[in-house]
Order: sequence, then C-alpha cells, then structure tokens
Amino acid sequence: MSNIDLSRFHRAFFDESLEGLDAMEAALLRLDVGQADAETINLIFRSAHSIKGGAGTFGFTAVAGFTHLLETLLERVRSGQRQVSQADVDLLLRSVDVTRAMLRAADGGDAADVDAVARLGAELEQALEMKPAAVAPVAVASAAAGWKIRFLPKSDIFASGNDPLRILRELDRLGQARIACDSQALPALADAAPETCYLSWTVELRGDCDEGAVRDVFAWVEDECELEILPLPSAEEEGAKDAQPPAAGAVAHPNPSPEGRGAEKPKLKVVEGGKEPTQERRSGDAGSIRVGTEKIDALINLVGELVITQAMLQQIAGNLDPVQNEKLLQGLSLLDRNTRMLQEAVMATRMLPVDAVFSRFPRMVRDLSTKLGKQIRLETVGEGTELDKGVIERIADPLTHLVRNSLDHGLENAGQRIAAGKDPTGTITLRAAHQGGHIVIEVADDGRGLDRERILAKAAERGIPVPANPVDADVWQLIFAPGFSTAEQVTDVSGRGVGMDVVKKNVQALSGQIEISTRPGQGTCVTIRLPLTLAILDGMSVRVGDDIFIVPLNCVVESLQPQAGQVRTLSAGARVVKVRNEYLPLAPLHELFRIRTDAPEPEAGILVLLESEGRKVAAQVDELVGQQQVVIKSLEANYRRVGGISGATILGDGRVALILDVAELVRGYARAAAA
Amino acid sequence: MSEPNAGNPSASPAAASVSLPADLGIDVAASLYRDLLAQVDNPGVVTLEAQDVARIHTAALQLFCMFCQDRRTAGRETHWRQPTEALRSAAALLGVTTLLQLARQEA
Repeated sequence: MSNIDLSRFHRAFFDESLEGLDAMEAALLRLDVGQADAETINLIFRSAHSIKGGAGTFGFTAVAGFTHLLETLLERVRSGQRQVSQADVDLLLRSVDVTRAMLRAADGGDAADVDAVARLGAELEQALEMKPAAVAPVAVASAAAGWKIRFLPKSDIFASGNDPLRILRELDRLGQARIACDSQALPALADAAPETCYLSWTVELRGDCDEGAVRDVFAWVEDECELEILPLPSAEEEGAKDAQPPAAGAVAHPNPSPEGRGAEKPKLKVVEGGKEPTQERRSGDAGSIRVGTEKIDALINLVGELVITQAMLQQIAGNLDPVQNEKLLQGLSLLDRNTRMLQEAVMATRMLPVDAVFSRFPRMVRDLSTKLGKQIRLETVGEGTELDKGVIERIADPLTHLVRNSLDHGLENAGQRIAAGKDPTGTITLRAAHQGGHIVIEVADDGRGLDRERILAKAAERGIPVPANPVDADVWQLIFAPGFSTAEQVTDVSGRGVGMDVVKKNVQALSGQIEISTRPGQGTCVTIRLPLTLAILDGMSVRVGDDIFIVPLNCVVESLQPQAGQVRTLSAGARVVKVRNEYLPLAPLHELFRIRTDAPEPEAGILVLLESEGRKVAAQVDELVGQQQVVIKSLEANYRRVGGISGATILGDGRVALILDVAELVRGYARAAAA
Repeated sequence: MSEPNAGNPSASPAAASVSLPADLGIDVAASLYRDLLAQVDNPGVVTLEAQDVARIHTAALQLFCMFCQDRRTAGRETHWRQPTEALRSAAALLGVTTLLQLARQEA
C-alpha cells in the first residue's frame, strides 16, 4: 500500500465524504424519533461507516477516530440496542457539522477547531458510556531529499479567492516543511490595504514527493504568484519514525510544532476490526463517474475553439457558389448542427441541480427557527433545475443571506402572525426555474413585507440619497445600499445590516440581476435571474476605430446618438452627457484604449449607456455591430490583465475582440467624479 | 466583528482589548482592519481576545503581523488571550509565530 500514491484519490474521498454527510444530514432531519425506520438508520450508518473507512485508508486519523465513535453509536441504534432520541439526533447533527469541518480542514480549506472536536468526541463517548476506541496508527514514514520552494504571491492573490495558508498547509502535508516567512514588505498598518498580500515564503520541503506533486499544490495560483522550485542539495535526512499513537478522538494538528520544524509526517493507517475499509466504500451511483472539473473545463474550452473554427468556415463558405459547392455546404451545415449539439452536451456536464445549494437550507431553517423562537416551514420548488457548477458555488452565499434575512426580519413570530390573522407557522419558499437562457431563483416569505415609510426614514437617517417622489421599486432598491439595515436590533442571525449590497454585488458579478417585490403584511419575494453558465456571454459587439469590443448585454441600458448641446464639458475637462434629466459621465472608448478613430466627437458616434452597481456611464463608440453569444476566454491566462477589460473572445472572422469590464469602467468614472 | 472593548476598568486606564470572532475569513478583513487600526496607537496594553478563533485567513494573520510589528516598534505591548489551536497552527504554517509573539504567550 505504501507504494501507491493515495493523494490522487483524496479529491474523490473528500467529495464523496461531503456528499455522504449531506445525505446523513438530510436523513437525520427526516428521521421520525421514536419510529425510526430501518432504511433511514441504515443510510445514516452507511455514510458514517464509509467516511470512517476512507479516512482510515488515507491516513486522516482524526476523522477516522471521530467517525468511529459516530459509527458505534449508530450501530447500536441499527442493531436495536439503543432507542434513538431527539437528543441523539441533535448530537448526530452536530457531529455531522464537526465531521464536515474536519474534512474541510483535512482538505486544506479551513483550520480544524480542535476544541469543538474534543468536546463533541467526549459527548459521543458519554452517550456511548465507553472507553476510547482503539485507533492504532502505524508509522511508515520515510524522508528523502526534497525541494526548496520560493513562493511570492501577487498582491491581489486574496481577491482571486486564494489563501496562501491553504497552499502552505497542502505543502506541509507532502513532507517535512520548514516554512520561513518574509515579512520585509509589510507596511505600517495605517498604510496597508487589508485585502492586499504583502508576505512571501520560502519553504524547505523534505520528503519523497516529486516536483509534479509540489507544482500541483500551486496549480490554482499559477497566475497569482511567482514560484521557484529547486531541488534541495542533500538527501541524507532520515525520516521521523515514531509517531505516538493518539487516543481515539484525539486530533492530528495541522502542524504540531509552532515553527513547523521537524514535524513528523507519519502516514497513518487505522486498523479497526481487521476489515479493509475500502471494500466497504460505496462507489456512488452505478451510472456515473467522477471527473475533475479541470478536465471538463478543458473540454469546454476545446469545444469553444471548435465553435469559433466552425463560425470561421461558415463565414468563408458564404462567399462560395452554392451550386458548385453544394456538397461542401451541406457538410458545413451538418458540422454546424453537430458542433452546437456537442457544445450543449459538453455544457450539460458542468450542470448540477440547484438542489446542491437548496439542500443546505432545511438544516439552517431548523436551527435558526429554534434560535429565533419562530415556527417556520421551508418549501422548495424546482430543485432539479440545473445550472453551471461555478454559478451554484457562487450563488450559495447570497442565497444563504437572503434566507437568513427572511427568517430574521421577514417572518413574524407566532404571536404576531396569529394577531395578524395568519397561519402561526411562517413559510419560506425557494423556487428555481428556467426562463429562456436564464435561471430564475426566488426566495419568498409570507411575512410582514417591507415597510415603505420605515425604509425611507432609515435611508434619511443613514444619509442614503433618495430620488425625488420615489416609486415603490425605488424604495425597495434602497435596501441594496451599502450599510442599510432596518432591523431594530442587530442580531447574530442576519448580521449588522451589511449584506444586501454584497448580495447584489455578488449577483451582478455573475452577470445576474436581482429584484424585490413585496406586499405589506403578505410577504416579500426576492428574485434572482442568472445566466445558465459563465462560459458564454450574451454580448453586444461595438466598433471603435478598427477594433471590435463586446459589451455584456445585461449591462446595456440603451444606446443613442447625442444631439449637439447634449454633451457638456466640465471645468476639470471631464465630459457629461444629459440623458433626459440625468447627467452621466462620458467614457470615450477610443481615448480609454488609445484607438485611432475617424469620429472622435461624441455627436459623430453612438453612446451606449451602461449600468453596473447602480451607477451609469455613457460609453462612446463608433458603431453598433450586432448582438451575439461569445465564448469567454481569459485574457489573464493567455496574455495579462488589462484594465477595463474582463476577458476576450474570438470572432467568426478569427479576430480577437475584448470584453468590456463594465463594473470597473463605471467604478473608475465614479471615483473620478468623487475626486 | 466584535467591537473593541476599550473600557476595561480593572486594567490601566488606556488598556484595551479587541474581541476576535470565530471566523476570521477574508470577508471580515476590512472590519478587522478597522478594529486593529483603532487600537494600534493605543499607548496601553492591547489584548487580542482569541479564544473563539476557529477559522482564519492569511489576510487576517497578516493584519495581526502588521499590528504587532507596529506596536513593537513603538515600544507598546500586545497580548494574546487564549489563542486557539486553530490560530496557533495557522500562524505556525505561515511562519509568523515569532512575529506575532504567539510562542511564548499563554495568557
């Protein structure tokens, strides 16, 4: 076994285990205490058993030890020795949380909360009234020469969602890591930006891992850092041999010694009951296989290239004589159809049912309704609706925030509901459906609805600008203003009222839109409209000089040809355009991107009004070319980051067109206006 | 992010503490920054209440590094109260245990 590189199976183990925990949680929530059916108990038991087996195989002893306790408790329930109680369900649900956190810690995402693990481990033992189980680790470590790694993250690495801590933790797992931090670049706190990275690291990694394994650790941050990997000169280091067998429930610290020096890296194997745990692991649905998302993304990329090539051929074929080239044209039309079908089929592999995110809410609603002392029912509709995995991952947090808001602020308590002549149990409905090329997700409650007067009063109090004679829709939009909150009290359920602006920002970052509808006393519904995938964009192509730019269609408000006198120059040289009663900053794209144009004056060109984050700007272009779906290519991965540009695409004639970053453009003009 | 508790009556008049939340993810970096900035020039002892820290991002640890470094340079004292294993192991992994003076403090 020691000759097999188990680390390549880690991903599947973590994915399967987390899925197992989700299944376990769902089963626990539907478990009827007192009349627990054998099938549900079996399902819960199997999940715990599989995780324990996998954790043992892969050397995650802390997880194995903890789930062993869980499994033992469940085995007693399964065999009829123990009657499951509500307290047991609560304990098991909390154990699910802790196991999930441990798995994430082992996967490198978070730091393990050792205290919580120890506390719950003790509770489980108490529930079992048993002595610590035998988890006997066997050390099989050896150390060889290693690698000297210089890791200089770019200053904006945090913004890309990466955490150097996770990377260093993964490195630490590959062998004996001696980590030295270079803090020379740290500025004074007052001069620092909290989300900028100033630190860099040198790591001496001793162990028998190859360079590929080290590089794999940095796979996600290749473009976000400078990296140097050199072999260490000597190879005589003797590996640490003796690992103290920890008691069951004890936790393997991510890095036991404070400086990470000389930390033992035993590969641990759990021997329990003499069974080979892998044999017990379920292999998932018989009709599916697990494929890494990077492989699917590569496939999508290739299909994107194919679509572009096909479009090029189609364009060239337009000039051919249809009589003389009939067969060729027929072949091309078949190619067109097959390419589109292939594209749809490949896109479908990235699609997941929205249930992947909806399934987290029953537990949350259960816990929070208890905490808030409210009676709440959760209904989900259309959970089978599919959307892109990337969109699902990024919509989870905004949805969580909306559900929390409904729970905390939207729904009344039972007393208030009865007084209002309503069902004492409030309902939150999560609904997903496809509409055209979009998915629409609704978070609705039958609570008290938004209070127009309170919102206006709060906006005035907070100094949030309110349009004159606002209609209801304008008032509801105020909720998305930064720092807005109408909650009488700040609670730890929905936070301090900073959030709806972030929700809106997150939705817009996914090229989506968010709307609110509400009726006093009857409830509120927040509707989110998202594109089905992030790989394709609905764009408007515009010409500036000889270049074509793509403007995301969801940002385009309108386009117009300005009349003389509509454009005014301010004292600072900046120009604004008056559209109806609004003055908007003018953004001549030829000036921004230094492109020669034959129509430099706004009156000779077209203005495209763009909106992002509630602000507008008028982009000046030479011509509107048309609307088209484009396959998004990363400019950073293929070239480098360019200000004002979010990506690129290849047009039918083979030319590269840049995709405008409307949010950045609008922000730039807002900053200039504020200065 | 919890409010800095600047009014500890049992300590010297200028002593203060900053309560750290359980989750020190990237999303709280801005509020943590504000809380630390408010205390960085405090001439008294500042205690970082770390007993709840369960999850931590490099951005947060980096802010602590700057905070401790600035205060040390200015000859001001900073203490940790009950730093959790999560905090210690993250600091160890980043190689900043010494910079944060986490090794010798068991307050």
